[in-house]
Amino acid sequence: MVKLQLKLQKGTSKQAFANLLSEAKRAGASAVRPLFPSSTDPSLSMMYMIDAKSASSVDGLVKLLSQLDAVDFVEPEVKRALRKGAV
Amino acid sequence: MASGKVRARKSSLRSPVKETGAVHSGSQPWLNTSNVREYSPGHLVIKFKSEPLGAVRAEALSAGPRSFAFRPTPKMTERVSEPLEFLRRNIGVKRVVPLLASEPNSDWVAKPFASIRSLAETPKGPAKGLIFISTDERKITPQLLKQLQSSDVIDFAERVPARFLTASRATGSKPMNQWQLTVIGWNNSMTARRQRSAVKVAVLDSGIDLRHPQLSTVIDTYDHGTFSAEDIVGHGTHVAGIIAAVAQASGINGIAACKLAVWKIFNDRPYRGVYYVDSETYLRALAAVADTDCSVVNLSIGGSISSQAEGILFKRLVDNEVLPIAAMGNEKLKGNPIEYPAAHSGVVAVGAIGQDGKICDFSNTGGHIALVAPGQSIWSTVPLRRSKGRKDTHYACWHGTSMAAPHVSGAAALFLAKNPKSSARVLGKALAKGVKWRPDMRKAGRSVYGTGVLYLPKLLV
Repeated sequence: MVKLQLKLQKGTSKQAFANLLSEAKRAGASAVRPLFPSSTDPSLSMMYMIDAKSASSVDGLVKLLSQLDAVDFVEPEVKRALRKGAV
Repeated sequence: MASGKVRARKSSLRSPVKETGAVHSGSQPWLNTSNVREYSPGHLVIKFKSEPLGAVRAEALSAGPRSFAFRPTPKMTERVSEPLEFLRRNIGVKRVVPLLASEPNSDWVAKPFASIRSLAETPKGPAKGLIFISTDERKITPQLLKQLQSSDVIDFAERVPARFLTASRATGSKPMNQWQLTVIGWNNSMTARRQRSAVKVAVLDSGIDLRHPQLSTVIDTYDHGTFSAEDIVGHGTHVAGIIAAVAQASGINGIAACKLAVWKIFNDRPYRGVYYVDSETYLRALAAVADTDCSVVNLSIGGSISSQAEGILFKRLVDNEVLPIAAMGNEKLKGNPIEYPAAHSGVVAVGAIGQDGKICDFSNTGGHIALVAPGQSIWSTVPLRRSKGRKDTHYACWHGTSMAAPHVSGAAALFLAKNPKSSARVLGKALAKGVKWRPDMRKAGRSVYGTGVLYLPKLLV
């Protein structure tokens, strides 16, 4: 599963969000869900996780969604690995 | 994969810990810590600097015949004798002998000149200038050590750790050399590290083994979400041991007597041989830590691509008085990239040094490095059960900036135990100042060593 992180602009309307969802689906998203579903923090409640159907659709999704006014940023999921050296 | 809010689950810890309790309290009484001493009672070790000893020798040689059967005078030995006189006057030392004596019966109490001659004649080496002192156990106080430490002729003064004496017990464990505890001055910070505190350090890692006898009592919460509770990799258990392993008759010493709140942010399947965080779980854990009473979060992880979402969550951590401490990364020989989260604003980025005190060849460098700490050949706890890809059980010796960061997290916990009202910003500044800077580091510079090597006696003044 390849994922993306997205943050909406403050004050995004329901209509703009609905438009975003349909655009995302068209570009290869299989699911869009809140990253912090029960958070009341205004910044966190604007953040979403997007499941991409395939790795090849990630670039297209980023390019398309980042052009929308409703989107603050969209980026591939954060990649972090352990920092233990070879033993 | 977890889709709900990351939950702190205190209650989930109790039963497994209790279930295994019988193993270490009953069938293996050597793990009973009630009578364990941390130090050899009534013993101190002092190391004199080479300069005053060299001066004694030079003066004696210039004053008398060149046979080197020199006769030091009271004036020559004054600087070296002064701290010993101080001890004799104030605590009534019983015996003061050089570690390497050039002649027998060189107890300073009985034969002060012979003793100092022995010290001065010892050939150059790491043991030159070392003196063992026997006295009344009750007279050895932190203040006394501090006073000795402040002498300009003494390199260090410390109690003799008892763990070396118990290491020979037949416990079946491997010999573990925690060289790093001397380097960071942990042995000289007895009062601070004995201070049990409510300070809580968050560890976002591969999980933890709740059954490990050196960790079971320090884990406050463990959230593994929908992943298995097992620490397959062992990395989180290793990191946790460095920070807070409880001293026992055998095993290792953790830096601080603090509590740990652990989040498992890795799933149990590597991708092309590399374990990556589960991004969703990781981001949620960062948000959850900011809403807890944790004061520090240890992140022995890294990656070279920056993330805005991660950046927002780190800012939120700092705003909520949680200090993030992160590994610089091990990619120095692979292009030395800037790694995150270490490079996020407000994060204390930690590089790794080896036993020679020099930066490890793998340890990333850069302008964002805050300080360095030991990160090579570090013994710590690992899960009791083997797993695919990890043969070590109970204890393992690993290296990496992953191992350096938890030394600083443990030090942060010690600082907060002593200064409970300090803000995250004050803590961050204190860590940057609580270091030792050696002249030979100047050539490499601040981008390699940050402000210097973590040094507890300076941090905990």
